[in-house]
Amino acid sequence: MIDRIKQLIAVASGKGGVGKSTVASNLALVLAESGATVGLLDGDIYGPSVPTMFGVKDAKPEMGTTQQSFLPIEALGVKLMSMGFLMPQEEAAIVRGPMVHSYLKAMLDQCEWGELDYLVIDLPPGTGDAQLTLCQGTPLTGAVVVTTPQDVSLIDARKGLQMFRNLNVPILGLVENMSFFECPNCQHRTDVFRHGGGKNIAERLDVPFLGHVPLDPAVVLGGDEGLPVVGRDPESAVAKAFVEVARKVREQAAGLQSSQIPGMTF
Amino acid sequence: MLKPITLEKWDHQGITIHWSDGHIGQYRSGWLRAHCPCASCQEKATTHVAPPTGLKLLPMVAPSSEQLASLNPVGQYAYNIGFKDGHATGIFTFAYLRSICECEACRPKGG
Repeated sequence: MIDRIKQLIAVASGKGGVGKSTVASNLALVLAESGATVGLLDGDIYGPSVPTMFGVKDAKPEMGTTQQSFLPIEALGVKLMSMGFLMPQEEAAIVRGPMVHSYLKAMLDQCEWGELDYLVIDLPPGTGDAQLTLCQGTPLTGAVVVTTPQDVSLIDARKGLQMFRNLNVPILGLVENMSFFECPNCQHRTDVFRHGGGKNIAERLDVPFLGHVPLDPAVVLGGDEGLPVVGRDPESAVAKAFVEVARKVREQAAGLQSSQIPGMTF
Repeated sequence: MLKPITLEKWDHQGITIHWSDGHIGQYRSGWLRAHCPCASCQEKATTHVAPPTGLKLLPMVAPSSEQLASLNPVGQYAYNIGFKDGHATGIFTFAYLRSICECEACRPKGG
């Protein structure tokens, strides 16, 4: 039930392991802390991580106002929905593409999201079933693409950007995650995966660059402890980088109110 | 990004699309049916070569109605256009729809 959601923001990447769920979780939390009503949909059917990242991995959704609907789980002021709430944690979702489509549609349309300013959708990596289901079936306001700085990730990020362009989904911007590591003792900076590739590619493809997010063990701890780093360690450089990313996303999305394409029946 | 802003119908016989760039597109339903980009219609439109097995392919079913039934948005990039005879497998991207516009200004290049 997405009819009362003002803006739907997809967080995507071409490649797995670039920190998409981390960006999506922190983005949702920053938006919620700024006073907006926010939901976060974990679109990764095979490897849901939102329940762990928000410290609610044992939560189960309650039935909604109809027999076919269910309520999102609320944690840290964000409404959450994930495959992780719908099946036992140790159990793998061994399903083919058409079922991925069905599960995603169910989490979008049967979940009683209520009135939201933002629904952040954490997509699985790639340009396949889940991405197409969301791009074709929902009026996305725009997409944030996450990459790490090395070529092997940038190549796939370009493919993700291309997919959104082909499907007419506005690109809110590109985030360079794991951009560098600053030693907490000597402040020496190491570009673990190289640096700046994200910004270069954003400039080349003429999409907004949303920021460099540093590599910081606090992010991992926040994820495992169930409190994203912007809540766990708000004064850290990485938390400040996420706040800046969220500010830019809000800015970009503000000019792009989710517009419904008109339909017609004769 | 090119998007339709409003739609106006002419009974079942056609449709006017007001595009985001100000263009006003005209489309007769028969024209849309003839330009359906679905695999079946494209297959029908192309010249057939005898299959290597020698088996005769069944002819595609001819449209029994060219009247429009529905225009359902597909994400932010296309319409799924349905016709009164139940044919509804064509996904018309906005770029494609725009390229086959029948208005007076576009007709020379639209054909």
